[in-house]
Amino acid sequence: MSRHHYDLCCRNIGRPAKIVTHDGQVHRGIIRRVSPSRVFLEPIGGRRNLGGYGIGFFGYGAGLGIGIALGAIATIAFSPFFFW
Amino acid sequence: MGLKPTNQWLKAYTQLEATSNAEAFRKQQNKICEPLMGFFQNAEADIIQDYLIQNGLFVPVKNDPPYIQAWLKKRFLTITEKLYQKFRQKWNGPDIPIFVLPSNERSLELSKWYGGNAGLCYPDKLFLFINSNATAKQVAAVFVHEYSHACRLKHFPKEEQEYQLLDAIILEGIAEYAVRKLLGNAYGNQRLEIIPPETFCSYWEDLISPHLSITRNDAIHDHIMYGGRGIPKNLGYLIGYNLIKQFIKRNTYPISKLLYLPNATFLDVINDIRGHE
Repeated sequence: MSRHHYDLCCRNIGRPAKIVTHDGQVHRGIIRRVSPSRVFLEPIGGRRNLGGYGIGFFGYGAGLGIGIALGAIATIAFSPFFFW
Repeated sequence: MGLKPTNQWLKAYTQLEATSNAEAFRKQQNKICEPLMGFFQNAEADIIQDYLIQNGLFVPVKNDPPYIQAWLKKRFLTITEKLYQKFRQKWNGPDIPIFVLPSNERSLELSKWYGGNAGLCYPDKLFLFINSNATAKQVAAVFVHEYSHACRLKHFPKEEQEYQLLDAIILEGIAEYAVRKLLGNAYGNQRLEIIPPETFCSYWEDLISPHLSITRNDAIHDHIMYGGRGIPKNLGYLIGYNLIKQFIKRNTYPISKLLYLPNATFLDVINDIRGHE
């Protein structure tokens, strides 16, 4: 699966993507760089907050510096639009 | 209202095959999030899906139907229905739709600090995300936390977008106090602990007090509530819990009354804590 995600990210450098990881984090941003183990996004702002009150757990996406482990990715979606 | 038929939605989810995780995501959107669109204003199924996943809903993968089927056998909806009837009467709580769904069991954060269960509450609806190994007491803990919010929010004299940081701190403080009072200290958010008065005052003066009236759309609101980037994890929850504990030391109230006290009543205790530094 990591290899699949690696190829997918390499083919889509420069495109906006939404990446959901198995631990429940939702990352949104433009793919800027891919290493054999991680993908680095430039975050896109404007996260839609649907409000409500939880227990303190919230899956924030990581920023550009940290990168996302390819093995932790559940799914990647691409969009031509910056609708987030 | 009360329990919505999420077991039927989950059955429909398991009956559809997915050959990839992307298909599993679409399946979750169609079978679980589309039926929720009528309960949110102007939110598409994918937006609801992302938000619920961020709050602890299971992350769909192509081979998860056996796990969902095992979850369904645990009868979490029946357990929740009993809790709902009990606390609705006990706390004079609102009649709202309740959605019980599996939680994200691959999140170490969720299992380490929150007992593997999560929830999300609005004035007009409530979500519980339950781990397949949850005990009845663990289900009760997350239900008590979230339903206490529904009770207090029912009486809030303002629209949801106007809720402020102080509202959130007191809501969460009452919720965590109620969980521990009813179920014991092993339940609830395990990051929360009793902190010394000087630590409480230092956080209050430096980080909380200047921002008490910011609304939840301001990024600082969630930064303080959840923590991170230099702020202790779950700071808003920690402060709320300690505030309510200090209040209860000085005032005797059953939870059924505590739930409906105005914010200002709790703030009276701050000066008292300052005096005991």
